[in-house]
Amino acid sequence: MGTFLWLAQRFSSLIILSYVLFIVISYFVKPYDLDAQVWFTDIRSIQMKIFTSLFLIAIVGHALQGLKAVEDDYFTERTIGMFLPGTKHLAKFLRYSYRGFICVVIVILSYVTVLSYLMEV
Amino acid sequence: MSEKFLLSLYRFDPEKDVRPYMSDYEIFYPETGNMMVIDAIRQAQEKDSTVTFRRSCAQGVCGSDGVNMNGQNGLACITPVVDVITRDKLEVRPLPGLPVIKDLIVDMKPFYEQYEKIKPFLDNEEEVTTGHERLQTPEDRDKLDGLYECVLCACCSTSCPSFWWNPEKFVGPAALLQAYRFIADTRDKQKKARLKKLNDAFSVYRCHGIMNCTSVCPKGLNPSKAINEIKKELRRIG
Repeated sequence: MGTFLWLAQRFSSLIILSYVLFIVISYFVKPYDLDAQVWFTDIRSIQMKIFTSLFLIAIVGHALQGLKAVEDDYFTERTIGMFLPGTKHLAKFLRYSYRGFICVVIVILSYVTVLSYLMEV
Repeated sequence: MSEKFLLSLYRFDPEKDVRPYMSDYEIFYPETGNMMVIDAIRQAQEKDSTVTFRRSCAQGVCGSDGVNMNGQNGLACITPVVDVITRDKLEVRPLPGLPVIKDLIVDMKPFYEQYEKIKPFLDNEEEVTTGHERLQTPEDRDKLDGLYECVLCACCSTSCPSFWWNPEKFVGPAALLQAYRFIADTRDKQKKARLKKLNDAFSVYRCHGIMNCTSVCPKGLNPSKAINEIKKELRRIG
């Protein structure tokens, strides 16, 4: 599992980097700043939809690992008790709240992406 | 160089003190000028016999006097005062990240528990039929140099933020160096099992390669390199 997660993080970072580079280079190569219609046509193409979906999946996968590391390091009885003595019993509650918040963000992101971009409802 | 300096020692007795505090002692350099941190602590102990400090060989072999000196972990017995002192003041604290028993003495249990996890012994059930010890080629033996010399002082593990946050889950540089010592040993027959046991999100992969361990090791070893070698082996077995 450790090696899989390690590889997933590196692979997802490559997808994120390639997408960002592609968008930045496209901006300089194509006349997006003169004609917004060109941008809309390009971004709505099936190839860009697949690439953008891949990018979003990579971002979610990559971010989840980073956010889990934050949880493991800081939302523990030890760390919370160190910064705010007497509140370590809140660690579990804070951990679950943190997870809940992340889930809500992912659901909203997925909803917006699928409905308004991929399906164009 | 002035003839004296201020030694500030971390003090905490859980039976008496509510909070830790620092005690200052005026320490005089010897006539030769050479002084190790352990000598300065001894001078402080002569002035105040309640100062508690763990030491044994005083030659950098037993690894029992690991402390934090002006922010840098190391062995007090082989660290010259002039190497760590700043503006005629030297602060000595216990190794960070481990529970303090008293003053400069820490509870090494979390550290030893991780060491125990990696099974620090040769595991080979094959019968020896040659009538003598298990042999290996000089080249295979050379692979163990820089791995077996660790004195388990815990300077590296207690300078590692990953170990501070997760001492129960992250094995830590000292134990990982020892893990690789047995993974790399051709006489050991449990290489795959050892690697599989380390293949989770914490044991090895919690190391982000900041190399604090390598920069503080008083024996000049390179735990960071050993951890990278373990990661390479893990990727090899998939």
